[in-house]
Amino acid sequence: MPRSFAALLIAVAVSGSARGQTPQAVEAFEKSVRPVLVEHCLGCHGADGKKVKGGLNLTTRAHLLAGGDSGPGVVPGDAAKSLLVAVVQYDGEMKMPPKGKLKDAEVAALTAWVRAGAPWPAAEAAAVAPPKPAGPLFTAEQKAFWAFQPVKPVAVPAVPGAAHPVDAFLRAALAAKGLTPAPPATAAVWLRRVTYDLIGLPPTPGELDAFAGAFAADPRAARAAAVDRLLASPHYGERWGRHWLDVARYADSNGMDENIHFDTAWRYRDYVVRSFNADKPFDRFVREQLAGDLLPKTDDAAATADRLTALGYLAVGPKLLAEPDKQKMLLDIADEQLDTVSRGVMGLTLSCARCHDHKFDPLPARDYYSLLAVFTSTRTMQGLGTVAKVFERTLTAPEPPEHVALRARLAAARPELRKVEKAFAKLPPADAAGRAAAHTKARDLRTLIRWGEKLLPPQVVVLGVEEGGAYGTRPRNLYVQARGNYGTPLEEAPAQFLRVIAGDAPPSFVSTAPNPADAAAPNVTRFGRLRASSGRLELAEWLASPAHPLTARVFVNRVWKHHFGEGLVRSVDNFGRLGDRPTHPDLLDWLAGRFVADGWSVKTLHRTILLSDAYAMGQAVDSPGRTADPDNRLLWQYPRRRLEAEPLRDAMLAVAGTLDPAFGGKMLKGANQGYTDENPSYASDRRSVYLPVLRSNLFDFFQTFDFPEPGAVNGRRESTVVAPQSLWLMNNPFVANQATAFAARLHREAATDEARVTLAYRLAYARPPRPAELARALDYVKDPAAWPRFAHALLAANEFQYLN
Amino acid sequence: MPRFCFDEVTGVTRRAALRTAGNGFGLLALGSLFGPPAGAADKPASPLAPKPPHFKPRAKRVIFLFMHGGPSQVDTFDPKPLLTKYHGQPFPGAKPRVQFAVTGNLLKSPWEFHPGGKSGIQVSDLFPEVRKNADDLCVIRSVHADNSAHGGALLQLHTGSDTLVRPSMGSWVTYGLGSENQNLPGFVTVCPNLGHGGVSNWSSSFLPAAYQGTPLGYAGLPAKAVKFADIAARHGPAQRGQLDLIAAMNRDHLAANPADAALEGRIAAMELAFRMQSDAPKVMDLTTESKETLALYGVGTDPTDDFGRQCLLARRFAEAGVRFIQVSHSYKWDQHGDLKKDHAKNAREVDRPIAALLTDLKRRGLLDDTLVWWGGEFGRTPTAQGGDGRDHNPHAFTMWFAGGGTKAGTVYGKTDDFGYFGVENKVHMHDLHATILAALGLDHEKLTYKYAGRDFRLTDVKGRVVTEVLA
Repeated sequence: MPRSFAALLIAVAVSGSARGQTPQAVEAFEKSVRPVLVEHCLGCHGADGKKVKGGLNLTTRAHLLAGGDSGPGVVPGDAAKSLLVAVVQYDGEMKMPPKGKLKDAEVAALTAWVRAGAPWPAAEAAAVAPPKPAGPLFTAEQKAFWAFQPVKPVAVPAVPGAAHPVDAFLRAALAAKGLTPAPPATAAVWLRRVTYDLIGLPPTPGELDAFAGAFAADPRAARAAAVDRLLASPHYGERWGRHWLDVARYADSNGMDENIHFDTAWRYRDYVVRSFNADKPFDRFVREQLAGDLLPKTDDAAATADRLTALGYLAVGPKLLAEPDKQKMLLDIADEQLDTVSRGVMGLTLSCARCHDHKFDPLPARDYYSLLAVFTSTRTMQGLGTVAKVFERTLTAPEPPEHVALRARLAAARPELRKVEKAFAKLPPADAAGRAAAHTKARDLRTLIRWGEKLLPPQVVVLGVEEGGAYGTRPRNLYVQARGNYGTPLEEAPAQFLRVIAGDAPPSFVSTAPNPADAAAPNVTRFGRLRASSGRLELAEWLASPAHPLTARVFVNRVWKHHFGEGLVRSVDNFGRLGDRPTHPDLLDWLAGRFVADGWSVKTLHRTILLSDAYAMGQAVDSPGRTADPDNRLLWQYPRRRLEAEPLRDAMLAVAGTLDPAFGGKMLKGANQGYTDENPSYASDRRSVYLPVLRSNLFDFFQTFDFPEPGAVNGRRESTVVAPQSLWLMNNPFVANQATAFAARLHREAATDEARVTLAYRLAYARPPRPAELARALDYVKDPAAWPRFAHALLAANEFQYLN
Repeated sequence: MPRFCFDEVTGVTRRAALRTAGNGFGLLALGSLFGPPAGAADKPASPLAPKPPHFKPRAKRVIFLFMHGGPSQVDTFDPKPLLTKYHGQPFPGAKPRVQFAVTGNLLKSPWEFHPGGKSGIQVSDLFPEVRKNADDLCVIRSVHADNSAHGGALLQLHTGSDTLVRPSMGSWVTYGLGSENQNLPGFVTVCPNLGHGGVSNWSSSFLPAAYQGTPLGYAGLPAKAVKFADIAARHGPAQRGQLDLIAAMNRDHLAANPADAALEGRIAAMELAFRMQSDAPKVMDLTTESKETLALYGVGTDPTDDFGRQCLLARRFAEAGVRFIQVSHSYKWDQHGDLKKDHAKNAREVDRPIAALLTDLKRRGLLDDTLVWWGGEFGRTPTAQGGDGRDHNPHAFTMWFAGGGTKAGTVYGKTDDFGYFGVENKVHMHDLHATILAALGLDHEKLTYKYAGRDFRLTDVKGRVVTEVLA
């Protein structure tokens, strides 16, 4: 480049025009800068409007200033701080263009141009970087999307013969297609179905007999009584708590990079089981899990403990605990929490808006950061140092000072004892005096520790969160981060709820004050206004409000899914545009409205659904629905379902008579927040919900039978058919052991081979054998040694795993 | 040395030998049971059936030789004379902004480099046997990734993402191409480490379970003890009789509940499982190999027996038509200290087996369509940690390919004078993934799966096919 150009550019800058958009400057740009950009840069940075590597677009000045993943492209006037200048120097970590260094003259031209304020033709700048088009934030179509509309009051359609409102909605839709519901299933099929559905176990022969009698007298009353009996069973919470634990991505270890053992996570799991058993109103359940520590104080100690335990919901997620980049770590942890809450409670894939406005739903990146700041303002970790530990809260009351002092003394005594023991081992046998002294010291320390531990009442801790304060979690707004990179802050995201629901300009959900420390700095997360609090309580209240269009709909849909195999919205975790539309929108709204009106009672919701005729249907082989509606979206028949992993295993224990019905507690041993035992024992007769759930190393049986990856929200398990399932059924010692116990039970409880076979069928399949089956079985067990193999066959055959 | 680096759970139990984790082989009826109640015409189809690639493939299968822990590039395949010259002096450039641990001055390599083969590719004395196969290698010296801790780095290496649970590469490949043997899993991983991501490194995540990797054994279990899970040691007439009973019961059940693809699929799955019980142990049985072959791999001699078996198993799986095979030299290459002693020990364990694998594949005509891929989750710093160690370095490290249509006898990419950062033809992990998929005939931008509302791919929104390393 001619020397004079550089001089000219500098002169222009000096002459005072901020942008230096004089004709000369523009000419210099066109002559010596733009050609370099076009030839060497735009191929990867925006020439075709598609390819923008590293997020850096060099087609306009505005884009260049905004920069990409690595920060702003230039700082006009300051070449030393300008990335563009740095990379073309070819002496740092990042070197551009990648194919080879520019000519010295080209480097000089770019440098001079930046120094001169990076002038760019003004007309072009205006033409290509228009301010965001004025107009509504969301299009009318986006605003009208069904999921964002308030739950509307719905009248139950009048359908002859449909006494139950659920049936009225379903039959109206069937009739519109000329379809009719399948005839009812038998009493035994219905009882088997509802028993597995509500408590995850098979009905006993006694229950079958009692139900058959009651059903003959009054089918509806018999069903209502059976549902009430099952809802009152403590096993109900074990079944339905587990459904929520899928959504809460519950696990007993961290997974990810450092598989840390969460020794107290089980307390959260038990809290969930208890909550379902107690029919805790769902709105309260949501409030407790998001903000149990911030709810108004209560004198009820158990309730207070429950609320803190509930916070495990936020804390138990998977995290990169050795992440070297601590700023990213803080954001990733918050992102994981926000993703869990938004998909689990709202059915929205809000995390898609971390890097850009959501591509399909009206969820701007700004809204994501507004809510992300709730969690970056919340303390989830004890600290961020490697390997980071999750924050814990103490459930027990504050201790008197002497206990605190004693605890400190014990904490010091333990390493001291280890030191003395080590020193002792190194003493030569000849040093009698030294050995005696060490011996005495060690004995005293051991006594102190033993007595101290006896004296101190145990402290109960749980995984949990608290309002921010440590390591950058002070309650503050965040700035929107271009492409999800904290080094490229854009505008500040105010404390506002999702605008597509809350309105275009909702009030701030917490009060805020200016943040004097707020300033842009390279490679530093930018925080905006100070918040009076994180906003966690306010978020919980907003979600749990009857007016929220999604919370009740999403949960009602989850319950429906577990009763009918599919949700009314089949994509149970995604109510957005890419999710499915409700098959029966009015029914969904009617159920959601009723759910809220019934005080968010989950058990009442079960009754509403389960006492419908639809839930009592059988399968219909010859229905025209098979061709008219092959996916059974209109529910012309009751769908056959395979048992999930837990009821499959639990049912084997139940029919073998080996099930240990104990409630709750911990099965996985290990130092709290130490490395987890990667190969724990699963040899247990407890219910499956209590077995350890290890991230990164799930129980092989769970994995084979479609237990969800416990690292993310999953409200809809797959139901695959794979050969390893058959191998497990054929060869796994667990099945063989249950088969042996099952055979022994048959011999204990029945006197003849015929009675044994009949009992076996009733236990395993809730029906007596057909004559041909009985004959075949009797033939098989002619050799008495074949009984365990026969019992094994019953457990491994399809009928055991399938619910009609 | 950061304590946590070695603070690994090593306890293993007998129970572990029975683990199946995620073997997804032979899935017969796809997807959800709640799907179509199904016309009788619906025949269960195998998701592992071979599928056509997007374009003409160079390789049909992959064998990944994973050197867990992070072998040092400047001590193996990336010679740095200036490192020797300036030994003991400070690194002249800027060190990375986010560092794993603080390191000291430049540390020269304790090993000499010598050219191998006609290509003259420089290989250090750690790998004298591999050096003899230099003309088959395509060495990439400028690989870089984003995470400087083992866990994150393993996750990114295996799944493309170091923050989120994503399908592993082997799962993507098997999803894209199916497998050539329906009685074996399409993706096996031998003796993988249960830490640092564990199952996530071979999980199918949101891809169907059929594409999960099947682990055989785990790190710490001798390779001679690995076996498929839940395969009965004996399956005599009693079990056949029992299976006949189950089959009869299932047929009755199906007759009472007709036209259900899932029920039919499960009947077929039971039969397949029975067949697999005879096929799977066969492929694991090394006694059919000649003495010469066993000796070639160093099976039966210290210190090569263990990894030799793994490499030999890899060849047998490749022959049997398994699509993606990973063997792991597990978490041994993390020399924050004792570099001289332990890198040498590690290399002695793997050098001969790796060379044998290349030789053996070649003489059987398998190297042409088998992509062998060697490397760790990151490299190491040219600067010293302590007196005789190197810290993690994800900014530049060496991986190499052999066979599978990669450019034999070449070196691609360049690091700075000391081997800290890449300076020429840098290849990001996403690029490497895109390139391996391309060798298999898969377009990394087209190999997608819809989940949670959007299309996902192995390379996220990134990745460049490094056509320069493909022949």
